[in-house]
Amino acid sequence: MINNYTKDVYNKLMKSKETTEPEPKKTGLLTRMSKQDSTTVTDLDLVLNYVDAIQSERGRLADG
Amino acid sequence: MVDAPNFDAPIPGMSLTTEVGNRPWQQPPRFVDTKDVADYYVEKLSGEDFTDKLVEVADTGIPLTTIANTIQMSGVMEGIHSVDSGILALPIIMEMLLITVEAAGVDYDSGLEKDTLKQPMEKYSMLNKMKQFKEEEPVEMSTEEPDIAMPDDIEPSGGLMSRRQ
Repeated sequence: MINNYTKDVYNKLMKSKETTEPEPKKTGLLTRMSKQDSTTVTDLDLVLNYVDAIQSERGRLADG
Repeated sequence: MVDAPNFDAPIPGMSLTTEVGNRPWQQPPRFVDTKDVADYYVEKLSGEDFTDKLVEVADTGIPLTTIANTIQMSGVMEGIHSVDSGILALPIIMEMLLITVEAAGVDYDSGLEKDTLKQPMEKYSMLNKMKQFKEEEPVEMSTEEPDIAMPDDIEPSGGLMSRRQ
């Protein structure tokens, strides 16, 4: 029975980070579609932000 | 292939040995927001007392994935967060563990590359460590008795229970 999903969760998150497509270029002006296009920050985005921040710190430590 | 029996499973009816709601994980969790859970772990895992212990444990060869899972599970058991939040926090815990052991310069096993639990931990096994000692040059012990001159006139100690002279 598997009860440790750390490896799977971590690798999946890293994989999702790699395949993230860049946001389509926008004009920066508010239109009627602006509200529909807007995305809400999910829990996963938050976790990714934390991971990015810690990884950049890790890289900084490794360099210096 | 038949899996080996798992004897770590709880005994049937074990959860009924106490009133429902008595256990911390049966109460509403302390932190609900993922941000709060992440902040909790970042603060907890950067403490000096924790990092010292982590470096010791990582040095023994236990995979970091196992340590991360144990940390998040204990968080659930203590009623700090739910299972879902714990799973979400796993990558953050892993990164915190990685940054700590890398900063300490320890030879660690991340547990991310291969299924380390199925691999024999040859590198870290006690037998292997003992072999290392065997291979080293044996230290020669001198069997000669040391020449220590004992003084002849030793005065007996005069304690309370000593024999009268």
